[in-house]
Amino acid sequence: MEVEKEESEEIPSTSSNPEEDPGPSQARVETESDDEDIEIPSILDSITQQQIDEFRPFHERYFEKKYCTRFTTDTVNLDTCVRIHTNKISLIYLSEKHSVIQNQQRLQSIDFQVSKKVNRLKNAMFGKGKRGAQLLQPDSILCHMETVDGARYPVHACVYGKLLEINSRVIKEPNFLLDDLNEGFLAIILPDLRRHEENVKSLKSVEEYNT
Amino acid sequence: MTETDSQDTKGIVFNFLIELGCCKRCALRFVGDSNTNYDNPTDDVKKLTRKDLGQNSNDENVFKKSKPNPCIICLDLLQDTTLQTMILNPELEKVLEYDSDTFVNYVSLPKAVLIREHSMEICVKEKFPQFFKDRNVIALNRAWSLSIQNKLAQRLEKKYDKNSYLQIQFNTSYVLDKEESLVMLLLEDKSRKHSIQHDPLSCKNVTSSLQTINSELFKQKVSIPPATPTKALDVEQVFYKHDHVFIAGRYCKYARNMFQTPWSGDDIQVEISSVQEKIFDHIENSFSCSAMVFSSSGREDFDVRTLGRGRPFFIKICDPKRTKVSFEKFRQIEQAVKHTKVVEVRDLQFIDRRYLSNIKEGEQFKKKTYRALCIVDKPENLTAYIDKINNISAVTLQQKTPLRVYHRRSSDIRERQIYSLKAKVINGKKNLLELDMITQAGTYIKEFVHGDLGRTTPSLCEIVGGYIDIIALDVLDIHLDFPPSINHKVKNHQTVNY
Repeated sequence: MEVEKEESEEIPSTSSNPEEDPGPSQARVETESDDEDIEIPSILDSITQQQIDEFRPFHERYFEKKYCTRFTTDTVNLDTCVRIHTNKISLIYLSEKHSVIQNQQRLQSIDFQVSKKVNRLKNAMFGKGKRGAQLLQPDSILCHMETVDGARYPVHACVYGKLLEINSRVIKEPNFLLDDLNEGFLAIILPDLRRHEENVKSLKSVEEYNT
Repeated sequence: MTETDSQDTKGIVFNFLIELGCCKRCALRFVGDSNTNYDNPTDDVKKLTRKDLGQNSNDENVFKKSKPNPCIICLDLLQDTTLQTMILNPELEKVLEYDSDTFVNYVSLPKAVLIREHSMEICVKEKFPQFFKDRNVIALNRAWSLSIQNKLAQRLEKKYDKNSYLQIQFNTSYVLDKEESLVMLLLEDKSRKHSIQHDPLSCKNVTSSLQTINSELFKQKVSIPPATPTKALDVEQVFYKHDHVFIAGRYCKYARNMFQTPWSGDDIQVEISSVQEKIFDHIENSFSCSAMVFSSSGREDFDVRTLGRGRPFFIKICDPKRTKVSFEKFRQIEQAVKHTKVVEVRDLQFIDRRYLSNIKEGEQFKKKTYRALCIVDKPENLTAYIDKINNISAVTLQQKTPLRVYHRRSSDIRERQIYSLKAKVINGKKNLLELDMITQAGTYIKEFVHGDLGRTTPSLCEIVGGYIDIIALDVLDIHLDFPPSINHKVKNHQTVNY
């Protein structure tokens, strides 16, 4: 018993020659196209001299520089520099006023085992939301720096958020943290958006830090 | 069997059905052949009632007896009055607004009608097994379509074409539909229970159930032949739409402050225009459609231009009233967009939907050509940097998720290829260089140049041994030959070639 379908889901082809089908059904064009005539406007002319003059390097371009001083004591300076990207992702660096740098000390190693259960290098996360990433509070410890003369300095997270990454170049060479204060970040943190304002307020601006 | 015998049997079956309470068209469905004229069945009916035996053979046509009850199968769907009502529906006036030359019509049937049909099939097969041995009954909706097609074509001033994109859907309802079709729930066998679970009484499910149902089981619950109905079905709304058509092209973007598609971020003003909007503004009127959906082969950043032949895109045009857009008209649209100065489109054309997968398929295998304007830290090293770059033939990158998208992308390391690199000086600029490169799709160019704080390696900084950064970026080509390029010298008469 034949029962015809009420509604056809198939897309009917109404092209004129379905057999010889080099491509889309439109009548054929000559192979010579207008490509050769397409003009490419100059890239230099597309920006202004002002833009060139005001150009800043990457680590300054998208980041706002702030400082965290709350863990510094009378005896030791543990200031960190927090660079906040326009998308709010925060990078933790040592501040230029940090004791280790001021004293020109050298690091022997960095210990990322911050507690019995937590190792900052074993941070597994999943998906866009970075589920499973280690949660951080401002006083959470990211690592302990160990100098050649046996001193041990903690580095704090300074913000509420999730740990995304430890700088692989620092893992490889701990002193990179001291030697390059632009590229030598320690950690990348995805801030807790609900507490972002709180994070930012707790940090000092460049002017405040230097007066 | 001789032909006359066969014709006699036809008459017998025909009158049997009429006597039971079928309308003339339903009866014809069971006995007719490919020549049956459902639109105007008068002659077919005459032939069948003239030669019948044992029936009142005077000229009074059987079906002219006043029928107090609706047709026991179709509930009067196939009666002249119902067909008239459908034709006269004022909504159909609006269908004239569509410029399509063809149409196709569908009808929705109450489930009760499907059940009645099944019941009648069982009945006639038992009564006339020989006759129905190799015979197919014409389906209800097909007979309906044949009955109404010509009149509909007249009313709409269009031609019927079963492949038409302009679809007109007639709907019917029946007050006793629920009651009559409840029996299907009793009949369902256990194995089908799961598939019918969430909507046991949908038309689709009833149809498929009827196809497999055991006849004996069916007969127990449903009367064979179908019981005489007291109510006919009701004609409901008619819906119409033109199926989507697609146009494709390539776009260029000349502004360094424009999104590809409209974006409402909380800190960005909504006044910033988008490529999509600029294009839509100029095609809206040409198609008189309900909506348009933009799709392209990747996209560029806000501050990146797209030059050369441009980026392939296609637009889905929903329910267009106007489809006869000529070659010239497409060229006019291109000119209009060109006047915006910020966006340009080329190769605008209709495209059949089966070619659309080209644009998204194999994304990671496509190549792109870029030009970057780069700034260096030390002008005295410029020539050295350029030499170092030009000495490299190809590079394989390991790119961690760039910081600038890290808030909305998962953490990953992507391997990407740079197929070629070529740097050159710019006249009059001591600290700038121009860099052309061909890369794999999905490569983050900006990060390749400045290194993203060591998270893309190797970076151009590493390659030149200094600091180099990117001031401006242009996409010069997307290596995808879609859609086919339009040669303006050869005029293609592409009217309705979609």
